[in-house]
Amino acid sequence: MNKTKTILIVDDDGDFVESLSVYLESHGFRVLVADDGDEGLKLARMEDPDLVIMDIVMNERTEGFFTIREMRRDSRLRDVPIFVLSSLYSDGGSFRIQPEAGWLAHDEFMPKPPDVAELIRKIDEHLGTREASK
Amino acid sequence: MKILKLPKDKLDYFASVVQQFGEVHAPVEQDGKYVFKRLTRWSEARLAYDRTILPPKKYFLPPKEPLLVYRPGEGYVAPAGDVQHRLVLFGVHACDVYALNILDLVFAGKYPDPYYQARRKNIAIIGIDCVPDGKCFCRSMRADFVDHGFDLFFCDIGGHYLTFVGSALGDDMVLATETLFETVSPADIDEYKRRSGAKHEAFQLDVEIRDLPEIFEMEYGSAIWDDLGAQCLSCGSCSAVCPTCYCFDMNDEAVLGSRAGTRSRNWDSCLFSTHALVAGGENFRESRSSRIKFRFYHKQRGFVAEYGRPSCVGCGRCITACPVDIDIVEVLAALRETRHAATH
Amino acid sequence: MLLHTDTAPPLQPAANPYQPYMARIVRIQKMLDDTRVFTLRFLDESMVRSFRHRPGQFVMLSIPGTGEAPISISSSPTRPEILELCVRRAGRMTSSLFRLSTNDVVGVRGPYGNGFPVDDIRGNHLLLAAGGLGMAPLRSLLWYALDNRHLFDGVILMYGSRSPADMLFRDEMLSLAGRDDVNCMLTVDADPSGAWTGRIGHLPSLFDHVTLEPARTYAAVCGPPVVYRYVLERLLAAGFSKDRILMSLERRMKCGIGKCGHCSVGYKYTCLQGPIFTYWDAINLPEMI
Repeated sequence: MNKTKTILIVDDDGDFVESLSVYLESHGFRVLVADDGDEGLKLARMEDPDLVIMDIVMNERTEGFFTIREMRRDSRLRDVPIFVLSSLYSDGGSFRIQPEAGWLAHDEFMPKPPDVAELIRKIDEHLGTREASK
Repeated sequence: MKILKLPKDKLDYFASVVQQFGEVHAPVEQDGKYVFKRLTRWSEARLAYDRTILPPKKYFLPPKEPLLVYRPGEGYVAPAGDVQHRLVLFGVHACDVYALNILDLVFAGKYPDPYYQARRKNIAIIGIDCVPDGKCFCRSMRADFVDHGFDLFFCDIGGHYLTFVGSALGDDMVLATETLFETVSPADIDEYKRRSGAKHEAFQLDVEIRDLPEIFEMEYGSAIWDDLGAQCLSCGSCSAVCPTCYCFDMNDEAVLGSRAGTRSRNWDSCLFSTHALVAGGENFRESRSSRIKFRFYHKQRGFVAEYGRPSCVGCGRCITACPVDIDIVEVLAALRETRHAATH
Repeated sequence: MLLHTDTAPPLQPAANPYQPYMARIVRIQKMLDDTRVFTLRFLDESMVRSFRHRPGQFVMLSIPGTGEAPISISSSPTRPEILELCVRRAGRMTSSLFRLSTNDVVGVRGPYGNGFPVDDIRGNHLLLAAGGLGMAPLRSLLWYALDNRHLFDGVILMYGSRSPADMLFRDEMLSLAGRDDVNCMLTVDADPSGAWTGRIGHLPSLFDHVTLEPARTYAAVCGPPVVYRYVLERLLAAGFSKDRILMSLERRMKCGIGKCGHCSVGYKYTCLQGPIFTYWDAINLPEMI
């Protein structure tokens, strides 16, 4: 009996969040939304999500990174998969950070907007679900 | 030493990355003053600060630190504690790095202190340069520049920070963010030297220290100490805020009804009346004037005999903290003047 | 999945100088109402075999539940396997110690301090001048000298107490009278019992009954302030150089290893460069006496 998995999206881009939520919900996930790091932290502590999708550039350019670290200080959130979905990983720009360098404690890096099929596949991998095949 | 440069507008990214090496602490604003605190957002950091209330020593020598736990039948054992906790102190001034190098000497030696040394190993130091204010005299104390004791050191050269890599860990930090750093040009070095020179000129306080041992020997009986003793409250604030004051007291706290307990050390001060009190009641520094004389003596002369230089780094914290405005620079000047009066 | 943790891997257990070794009280001798000799033996046999101190050194004694205090070692390193500590009940720590019994376990750290400079004293005469509790640290030097008799020229012991009843290690001291390798001079200030057959007089008066060779003698002095004052007077009057007069000084100690700052005298630490100082050190370091 599979419990419905909960995904928390922390991102201040309202339009993007809206469309991603719809997509994820259509695949049977319960979606929670926070529009900045503090809100995301609060929700994560309250709801104990199965996965977190984190934006980086919100009120501050590096807000997401600090929010990830704050989450990891909480023993219940120490092992929750966190996907970084950020324009930092999109093409272009003079600035690129190598995920292989051993970034913080997140599990996947994806550009924004993501390849949604890839996103679902990765979510399946981490949560043991089979949404990609549907 | 490897030297690179970091564009100032990439500093926040760098700080984010550096979180993987430990919890980042930096000076933040609190009630109009500055304190080193864990960052929850980069924007909380105030790197253009003058001085923090408490120096970074609070991380290496915590105000209260359990050293041993005692259980009958097991003896005394060091508790798990937090000495293995990894931190990154971001934005440490040269005087404070210098102070840590001084504490390194004290806590090494014949009996190395494993608690201090573990923390020193697990806490990374990222330094940043600064602009002296009216209470800074680190240059006089030769503590305005450090060549060791840090992992990275940032110096402002306009649009960039010149970055000195001081350790293998600092190198690892740079490697983890390679794409952010740039190589240094001769023009960058010139700019650093120009700004360095300007900073030297900016000091408002100038203290001669080479003849301090001599002056202290001769002024040991001076009336200045009585005047200071009358002024001093023995509150110990100067010791608490001083980056090189390390005196500690040890206390055993027993668990009620058993012989189990914890032995902890906590900050102490030679200004407190019990500092030189022995069982049986004799107090070798009973008067406040003897205690304040001892503090200055130890800081500016005694330490010289043990380690070759005064333990004062000229950070100006004691001047800021003293509730009755006892100013070490003024005291040293007064002692020097007293000497001249005697020879005329 | 954390790629880098917030906690460094545990370091290999390094020597922790703050950690006491446990020792059992194997004997308690009541000397006076407020003075006892505790004989200790380490629980760990390898410690029993390897612990070696120099005369004049001290240990930090931990009384479980109460705290730690510095105590001079009264036994000589020539008699290993046990430690003898002569303690006067003066405060909270020592009061706690006095409530312990044989077989109770205490903590010991050390030996600390510089100890008497026996290498310098070798080949010279040795004069020990003890007043009252001053015998506690001097006794280790006394027996070190008697057990290594060939290392020293003449050995003179001057020991003064308030009365015969107040004399520490009295039987031991009296037994020295029978030896021909030590000039044992005992004196008491007064004899209320009337049974004392020895000298009556203050410690400094013993100087009237002995001829000294100051240039070839080291004098080790220990006792209450009044003893120091008058014995020093006699030694200086006899022509002793100030660096041939050795004193054991006490200060407040919390760590014993030169870190806590309490025992500092001028610019030296009593626990590192002391507790044995020369009289020359004493007058040159401010606030020494």
